[in-house]
Amino acid sequence: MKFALVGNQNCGKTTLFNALTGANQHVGNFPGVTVDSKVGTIRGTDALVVDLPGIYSIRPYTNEEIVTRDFVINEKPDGIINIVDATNIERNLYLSLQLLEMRIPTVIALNMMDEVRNNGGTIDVKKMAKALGVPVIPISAAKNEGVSELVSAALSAAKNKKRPAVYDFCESGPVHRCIHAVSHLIEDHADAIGVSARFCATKLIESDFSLNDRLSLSENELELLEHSVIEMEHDSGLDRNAALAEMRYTFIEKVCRDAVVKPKESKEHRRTTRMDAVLTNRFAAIPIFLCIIFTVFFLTFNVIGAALSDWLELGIDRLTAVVSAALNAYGINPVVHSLLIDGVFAGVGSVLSFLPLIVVLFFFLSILEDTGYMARIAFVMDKPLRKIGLSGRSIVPMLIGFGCSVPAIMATRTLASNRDRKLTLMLIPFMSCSAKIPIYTVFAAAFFPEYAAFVMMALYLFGIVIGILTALLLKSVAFRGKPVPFVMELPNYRLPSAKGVLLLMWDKAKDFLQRAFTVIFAATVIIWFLQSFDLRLNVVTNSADSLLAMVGRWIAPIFTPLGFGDWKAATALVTGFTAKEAVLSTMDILLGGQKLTSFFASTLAAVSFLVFTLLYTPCVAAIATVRRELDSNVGALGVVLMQCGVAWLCAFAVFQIGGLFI
Amino acid sequence: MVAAATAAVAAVTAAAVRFKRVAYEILKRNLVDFDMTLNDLKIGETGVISAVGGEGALRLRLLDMGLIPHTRVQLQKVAPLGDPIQILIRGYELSLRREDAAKITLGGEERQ
Repeated sequence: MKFALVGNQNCGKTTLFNALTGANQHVGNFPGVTVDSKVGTIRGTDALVVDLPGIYSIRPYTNEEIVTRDFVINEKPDGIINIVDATNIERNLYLSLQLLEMRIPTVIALNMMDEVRNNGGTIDVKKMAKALGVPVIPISAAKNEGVSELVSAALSAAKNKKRPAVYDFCESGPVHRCIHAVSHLIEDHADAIGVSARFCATKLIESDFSLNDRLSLSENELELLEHSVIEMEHDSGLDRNAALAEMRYTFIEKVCRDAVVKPKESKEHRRTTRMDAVLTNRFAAIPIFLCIIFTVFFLTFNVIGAALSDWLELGIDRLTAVVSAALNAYGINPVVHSLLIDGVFAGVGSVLSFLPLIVVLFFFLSILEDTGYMARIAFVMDKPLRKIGLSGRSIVPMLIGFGCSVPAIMATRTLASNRDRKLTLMLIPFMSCSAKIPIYTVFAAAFFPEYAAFVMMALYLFGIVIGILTALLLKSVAFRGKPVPFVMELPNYRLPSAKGVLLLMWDKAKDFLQRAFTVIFAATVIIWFLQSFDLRLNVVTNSADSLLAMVGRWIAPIFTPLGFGDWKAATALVTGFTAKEAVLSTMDILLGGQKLTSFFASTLAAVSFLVFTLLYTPCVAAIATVRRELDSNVGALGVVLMQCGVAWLCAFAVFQIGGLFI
Repeated sequence: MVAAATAAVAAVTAAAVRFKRVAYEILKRNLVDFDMTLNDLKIGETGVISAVGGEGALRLRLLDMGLIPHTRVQLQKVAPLGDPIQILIRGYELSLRREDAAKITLGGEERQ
C-alpha cells in the first residue's frame, strides 16, 4: 500500500513524515522528478508513504506543483494523507479541496491542534469531517499525538477504497453550472485515463491544459468547453481563475464558520510579532542578519567545523603513518606504496575533510530554516538581490560561499525556484572560498609586503563585483524567463525539532559521500598518476619530466596573453583543480627554492595570476556538487567552462590594461 | 565651508524629495479615477480587495494565497529597504513586492 503525504509549506509536513516513519526513509527515485521526495515505511505496517514537496495549490507552474500532481495522477497512490495547519486553516484547506476533487481515498491530518486549543480556540472535527466528506484527525506531529489514529484512519480508508463523500464545492450559480457542464462533457475521456472528471473539469476551466494531451479532447469539445467558460465569466462577473478561487474560498469560509472557533490572538503570533519588531526592524534587521550569519560562519569554519576537521585530519595522518610504516616494513614496491599513500589515502582524506563543514553548517542552516528566520532573511534582503535577478533567500548560500563552495552549493536546495537555484549556484564560486586565502597571503606578502591587507580586500571585492556583473549578464541572456513570483508566507517562529535537525544533517552527509566520493577520489588518483609517471610510464625523479608537467607545457600558451605563460604556473593551476591549497604546494616543488618574485616577470603578471586563481573553476568537490544539484554532466561542464572563461577574460583585461599604465 | 555647503545641498535635496512625495500623494488621492491599491496602504491601515490584477503565475499565486475580492487585508510592515511589504490576510502573514501589491485594487465590500 502506498500513501502520498501532501500539504502546504510550513505546516509541519516533514515533522509528520519523520513521526510516521522514524529513521526508516530514503530519497525516492521517480521518473522525471528533479525535486527530492522521500519515501519511508509507516512504523508498524508495511505501507509506504511518500513525502511530496510542500505546495499551496495544484498548478502547472513550479516544479514542486508538477511533481505532486504527476505523482498523484501517474503513480495512483492508494490514499492521500493531507496535512493541514489548524492555526492557518483557511489557506491550508484551499489545497485540500483540490485534492478531494481527485477522488482518491483521503484523510486530513489537522496538525498543531494543541496550539489552537491552548489559545482558547476549538475545531469541531466531526462537523468538519462531515462537511468535507473525509476523516479529519486532530494531531500534533511535533508531540507525536494522534499519529497512530491517523495511521489507522488512513489504512482503513485505503483498504475500503473510501472515496471522499463530498466533492461538489460550488453553490448553485454560474460557476456550478459551468463545472458540471464541463464534467459531463469530458466524463468519458477522464474515465478512460482513470482521473476524476471533476478534477479534470476544474483544471480545464482554469486553463491548465497540462492534461489536454492525455484527455485527447476533440476540437468540437474544446470549443464547447470554452463556450461554457465564457458564459460563466459573463454571468459571474469574474474571470475563470478568480471565479474558481472564490468558489473554493467561499466553501471554506462556510465550513469554518460552522466548525471553527478561532482564538483571539494566539500566543505564538504575539511572540512572533514581538520578535519581528526586532528581527525585521527598520534599523536593526540588517545588522542582526549580518551578526547571525557571521556567527554561523565563524562557528562553522573557525571553531566547531575547524576543530572537527583537525581531529579528522589527525586521525587520517596517524592511520596513514601506520599504514605507510607497515608497507615499508613489508618491503612493498615503492610505486604501490606511493599509490596507496599519496593517491588513495590523500583522496579519501580530501573527501572526508569536507564532512565536518557540511554537517556543522547544515546544523545551523536547518535551525534557521525551521525556526522561520530564513523567511525573514528573504523578506529583508529581497530588494538588493532582486536587482541581480534573484530573491532574498539566495544571500545565505552566497555568503556561505566565502567559507566553502561545497556546502554553499548544497544549501541552494532550499531556494524556492529552479531558476534561482541554478543562478545562485553559478555565482557561488565567485565568492572567494577560504581555501584560497593561503595563496593570497603568500602572494601578497611576496609582492606587496606593505599593502598585503589591502590587496586581500581588493581581491574579495573584485570577486563580488565580477559575480554581480555575471549575474546581470546571465539574467539578461540565459535566465530571461520570469522568476517565480515572490509571494511568500512569513510563518510564526517555532522551536525546531532536534530529530528533524539531526535527520537533515545525516541526510546531507550521506548525500555528499554517496554522490561526490567517486568523483573526488578519481580526480585525486588521476592527478597522482600524472605527477608520478612520465610518458613511458617510468616513475619520475624530477617533477619537470612528469606527465603533469607535459600537460602544463601543453596548456601554458593559453596563459601567455595573461602574463604567466610558464609551464610551472600552468601546472600549479591544474593541480589546484583537486584542492586550491595544492596550487601553493605545487608551486613550491616546481620552483625548487627559486623565489616567487623572481619567477613572475612582473608584479602585474603576479596580479593577473591571482585574479585568475580567484575566479577560475573551484575544486573538484565543488564541481561534483554542482553536478549533483543540477543533475546534469553537461550543465556542470558548462559551469566550469563559464568560470574558466570569465577568469581568463578578467586576468587578460587586468594584464593588458594594467600594462598600458605601468 | 565645503561641509556647510554640502549640508545645505543635502537639506535642500531632502526637502525637495519630501515635497515631491507629499505633492504626489495629495494629487493621487484627489484624482477622480484614483484606484487605491494594496501598495497605497499605510502601516496599520486595512482595506478590502475589489480586484486582483497581474497575470500568469503571479496572479494565480495571489489568488491561491487567498487574495481574492471581498477579503480584508492589513498592511503590517515594510521591509527595512522599503520593499517588499508584509500584510495580514486570513489570519496569516504574507510578504509580497510593492510592484505586485500595486496590482491589487482595494475598495471592495466585505462579504457577510
